Amino acid sequence: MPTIATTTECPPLDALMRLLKAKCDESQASPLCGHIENCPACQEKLDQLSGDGTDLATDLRALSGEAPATNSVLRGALKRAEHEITSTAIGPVPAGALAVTAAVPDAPLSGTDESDAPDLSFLLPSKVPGNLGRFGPFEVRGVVGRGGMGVVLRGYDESLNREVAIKVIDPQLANNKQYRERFVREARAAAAVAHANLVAVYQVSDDAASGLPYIVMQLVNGESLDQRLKRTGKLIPKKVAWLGMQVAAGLDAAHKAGLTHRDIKPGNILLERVADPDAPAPAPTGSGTAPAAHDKFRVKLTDFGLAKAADDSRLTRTGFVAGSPLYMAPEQAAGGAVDQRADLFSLGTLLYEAATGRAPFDAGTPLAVLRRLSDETQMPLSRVNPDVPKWLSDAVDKLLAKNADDRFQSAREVVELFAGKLHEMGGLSPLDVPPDVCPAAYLKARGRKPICWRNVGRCVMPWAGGAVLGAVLIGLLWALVPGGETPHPNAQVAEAGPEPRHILKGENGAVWSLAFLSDDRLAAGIEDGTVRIWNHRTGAVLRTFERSHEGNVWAMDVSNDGKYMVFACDNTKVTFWNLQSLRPEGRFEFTHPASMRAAAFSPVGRFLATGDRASTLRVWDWENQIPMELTGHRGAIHSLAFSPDGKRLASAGSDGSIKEWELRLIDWNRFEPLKASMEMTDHRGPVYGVTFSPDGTKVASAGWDGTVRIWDAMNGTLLKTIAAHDGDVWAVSYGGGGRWVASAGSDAHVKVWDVETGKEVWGYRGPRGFHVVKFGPDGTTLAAGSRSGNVKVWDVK
Amino acid sequence: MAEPPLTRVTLLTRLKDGRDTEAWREFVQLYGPVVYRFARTRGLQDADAADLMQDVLRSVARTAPRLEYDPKKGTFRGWLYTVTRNKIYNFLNAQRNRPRATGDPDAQERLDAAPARDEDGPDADWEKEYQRRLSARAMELVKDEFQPNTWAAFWQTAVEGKPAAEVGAALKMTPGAVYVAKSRVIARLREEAQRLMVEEGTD
Repeated sequence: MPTIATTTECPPLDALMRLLKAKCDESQASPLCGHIENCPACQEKLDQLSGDGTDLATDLRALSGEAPATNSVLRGALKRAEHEITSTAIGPVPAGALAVTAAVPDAPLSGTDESDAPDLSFLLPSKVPGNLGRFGPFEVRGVVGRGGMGVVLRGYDESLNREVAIKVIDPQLANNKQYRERFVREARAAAAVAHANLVAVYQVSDDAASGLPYIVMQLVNGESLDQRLKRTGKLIPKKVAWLGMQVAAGLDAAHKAGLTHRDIKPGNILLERVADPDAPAPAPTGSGTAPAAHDKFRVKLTDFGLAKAADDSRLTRTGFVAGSPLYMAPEQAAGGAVDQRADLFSLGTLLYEAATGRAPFDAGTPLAVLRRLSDETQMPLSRVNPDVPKWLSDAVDKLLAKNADDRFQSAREVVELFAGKLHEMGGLSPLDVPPDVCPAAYLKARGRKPICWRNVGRCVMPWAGGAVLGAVLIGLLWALVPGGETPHPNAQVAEAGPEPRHILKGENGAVWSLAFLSDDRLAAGIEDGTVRIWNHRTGAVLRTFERSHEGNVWAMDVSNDGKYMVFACDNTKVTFWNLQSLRPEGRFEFTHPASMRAAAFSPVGRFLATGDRASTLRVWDWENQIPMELTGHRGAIHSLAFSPDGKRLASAGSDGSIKEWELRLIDWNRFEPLKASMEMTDHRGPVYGVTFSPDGTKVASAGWDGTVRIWDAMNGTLLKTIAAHDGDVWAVSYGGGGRWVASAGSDAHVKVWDVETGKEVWGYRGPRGFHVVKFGPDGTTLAAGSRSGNVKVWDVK
Repeated sequence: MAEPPLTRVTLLTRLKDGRDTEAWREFVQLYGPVVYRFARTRGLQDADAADLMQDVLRSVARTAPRLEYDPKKGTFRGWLYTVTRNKIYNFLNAQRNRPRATGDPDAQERLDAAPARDEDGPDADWEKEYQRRLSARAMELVKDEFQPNTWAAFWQTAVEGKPAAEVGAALKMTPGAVYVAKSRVIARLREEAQRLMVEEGTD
């Protein structure tokens, strides 16, 4: 080691800095090192340059001194957490996940849950050993699967000597008349369309024995695209194009019949093996580039038109678009009006996934999917996979246009483009062309208007245009209010109406319930179980109970002495709180056979009314915890209201009825269920809200049919029907001393009606649907909770 | 920290993507032990602290897509502290109440958990655990960049507090080289810790 004692002078700062960055090279560093060794000033400078390391060193010393014991479970827990998060947060969103998060256990889920064996109690015993049972004229040989609508059975039709698929509606859904009718209607419409790329619907009927409607369909021999992608990951570009052409052909036929699928996803695309003896002979393949015969498939779409029925049911139950949003068009995910171009968007996602093995907006959670869906543009296919030809990549991009106007405008355009390109790729023989595609079209069209394009009179709803027009009209009536909250990315309407006095931020999801605790305190129950209390006069948050309940807070109420509060959440127990201690009152337990939906205290005396999703309605002598069954409703109980004198109870349910109960008829000593003393049944579809007028002489109700109805509370006469909202009306509330009724609609409006004239006297339009509206005790403070997660408060004069 | 805002792709932003496995891994590695150790300082046993940690991380994974980074509302770290603190509070409270628990114990414990106010900010223990973890994580990440000798020189002088001359003799390095080695490692560690903090977006 050369001793260069001459380096007695302190090196310049930049030399020290280089020393910190560079590898300590002997020849250069040594002189410096020698100097530093003996120079406290340089040592200090080095320390400064490297940053004072004492805290770091202390940290490291502390850690090395007290490392967790080797037998600590920390390491394993870290591994598990990492695995859990990276796998669950990353994996594809399970079908139906959104419906689960959107809170309704009895909402039909679009996925299958293997752990949950289908309920086959409606089958009659079979005489054939090994068969599951009999259903109508069919021997049931097995279960094909479960869907959102019910169960799919493999049946044998003896008269025609063929196997069929039988889709039986979920018995729970069959209770809902509205839904049931729609199921049958849509299935009949689907049955009217015959096309090689649609699963044939043979028959739609009601089973005499069980009363359940069912659909008999072609049993397809093959696998779903979903299964196929799980098996092979992805398809080669030519097969993707082939898939696209056939799906589009099926869509085209259905769209022309006026049907929109609305749930195009890999699980609904069946790949029929062409080796099936029933199918026409495979096309002779002239060139070696044709898809190998053994892997040739014919695409068949299933569940056509049914999605709409299911979707309506889900929407009305949850106010939230259910199902996996992975394949939804942005306008559909936003809950907006949907036309056939939404199916084309879904086709785009499908092709994207088929080409890459991954849906274009796949993300960890449904919410993340929605975010990506609205904010992000997918990476073009040709960049993800260079084997994908430019035209296919462009076509998929066009299908995935956020704005429906920028997509292909019809499935027919897609069929013709794909057929033409496939022909050029040499993968298509004339026999492969979907039946009604004019062969000349793909040879001559080349981007121009195809010559056999037939303009069929189909109804395209100008969704965006319509919404904008709506906003303009409202804008004329009401001064436009600057947005007090972030509008939904896809909402193209501005808020309109009187500016709220306060906007109370719920911030944890849709607000479903409201309760005035006093003149100035207002509580809101939020989708994720949070309950927040504000002083609505100042806007100050008084308290927040994060996820203090499991699932959505559907309803809440305060006891007449102001001491207790009840909450109906997505579990089978009413949560009973003491408002003084702000703790659950453990002494009381009010349980139900199904998850709760409604709860209300009587304004006089000691009654608590509770209703669940499976028709159980109870009135409790709550101090003594004695329940009394109120029988007669079918399906969910959505709303409960006591008359101001506490003598009568009104209930509203999914069965479309409002019932009134005379509580004085309850004999608490004998457990004999009480029957309704009056029924009001003019609503079409579920009734979501019911309330008494302050003087107890009238009842106001609202529901699925978009109406607000006023009834004589004494004799049940329908006094007034107000066509209040365009869509579900979720809540009604009396105000103005009984002169007004406020209503909250999924059409994003809150309106106040003059009860006598039925005229609208006040209105507001928000960016998202409103679920709940309530007048304060003063009769002029109006609060409304919406899907945007905010509670808006006005003074209505 | 003066960092141009444009170049910052914070950990939170990456977590929100939901598909960035690397970000989630980083998150678990960085914060898992912080939560665990903080829970231990609050009296939780090993297994309980580990369970609680998983619970907290799960909450974050569920919530991340909805989180908006808004410096006005406090930091991500502060938010995580609130989540952790409340869970610990619930846990301890549930334990206390277990013998006489009636009704819905979940609701009760959540009720009792007065959420931490943002303006209070994370407490000192939390910050200390965070700083320690940051240092440890930085160490894990940079250690391999150095020659074993250089690292040993750093460790023995800075962490173990031995004199440079003694360390140099053992490692066959001049004391000056030991100094330089120590400074160099510290500089790099600080840089890495800084990067972690910036990435996390909580400065």
